[in-house]
Amino acid sequence: MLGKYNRAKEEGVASAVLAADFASTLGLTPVVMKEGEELHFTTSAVCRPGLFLAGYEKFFAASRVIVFGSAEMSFAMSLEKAVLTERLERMCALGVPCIVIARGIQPTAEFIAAAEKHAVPLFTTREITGKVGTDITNFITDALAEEITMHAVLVDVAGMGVLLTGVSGIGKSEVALELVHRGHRLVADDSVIIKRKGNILVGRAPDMIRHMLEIRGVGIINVERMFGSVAVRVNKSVDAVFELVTWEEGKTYERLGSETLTEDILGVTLPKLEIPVKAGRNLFVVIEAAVASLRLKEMGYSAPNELEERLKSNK
Amino acid sequence: MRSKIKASKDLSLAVAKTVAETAAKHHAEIRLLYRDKVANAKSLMGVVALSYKKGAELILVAEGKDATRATDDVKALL
Repeated sequence: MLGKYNRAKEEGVASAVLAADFASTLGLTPVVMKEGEELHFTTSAVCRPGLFLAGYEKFFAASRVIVFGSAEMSFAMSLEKAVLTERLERMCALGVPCIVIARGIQPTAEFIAAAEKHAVPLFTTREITGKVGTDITNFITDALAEEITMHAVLVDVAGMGVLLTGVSGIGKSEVALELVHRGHRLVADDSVIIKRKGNILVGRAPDMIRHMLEIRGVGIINVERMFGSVAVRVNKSVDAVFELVTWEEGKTYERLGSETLTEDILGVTLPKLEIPVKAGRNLFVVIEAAVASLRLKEMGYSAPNELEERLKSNK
Repeated sequence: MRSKIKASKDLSLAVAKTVAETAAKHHAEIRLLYRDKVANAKSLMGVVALSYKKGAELILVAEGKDATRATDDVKALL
């Protein structure tokens, strides 16, 4: 059996970020940057280079994005030009991914020369230093986040991101269509790209097939065109996994709802339900009920527990 | 089973359809990889999402009892 998860990374594909994308997403102005240049990040932390500028190089983290604020810039300006040039060149030669100067302060000729000499991209921004640092960390965390593609359907059911899994042809897309009809929202059909952000998973559709749905017997439909923009969303947290399984006579399915299965995706544990598919069973109703039931459970209510209590107090 | 394929034509809806239909006839699980994208070959939309062009380097991974036949059949369509 192949793993359920298709890990693109396992196949040896690495990702890099275009310097131009980094700049436009974070609202930075490029001062030194080559066209098509890529940035390679290994850590999401940033470095304020005060100590390095003062000549203390021990523990300097050259893998971090260097952020200059007012303090560092004012200290740099107090240095003799030759000393500043030497230290900036040392910094760039160590292979820092890029340098960002905050608070709208413009780099002097020494900065530009050192950056150009060692091909280190240099950016400026009007933002305050602390915010730039946080923004960069968030951006890199996102860029470094592990990603997988799953053969599944992702629907936002009453605010809960439900990942419908199950073998080809079991009717995942048909259930998605029913749910959209009931006012829920489609995120992705057939192929869901899932990314881990901190402790939450976020799913989206591959751009090429976004909001398209294949319904056997009907063909390909554009859900957004058919049901309007309120019937779709671009991304959604993945909160639960519902696996559609073929109804087998004699097999025992969850009867009480007191136990919850779980499934691990990218190291995040999600509640999981096995939903048997049988002709004449309205699946969307079952799925809506399952979502409501999971939510009640999260809020601390359990119907089987209450039933148990009623049995006990029955004299 | 893992094999490398050089696409002999651009991916079109017609190609994706025959790939998905052919793959669905086999028991084996079949994955198609292109750059950082992965698709279940039995899923029409999944294959469309690969959006590759002629000459693209694809990787086909098949596992299951009829993996060899599945690989040959799908390979012939790409």
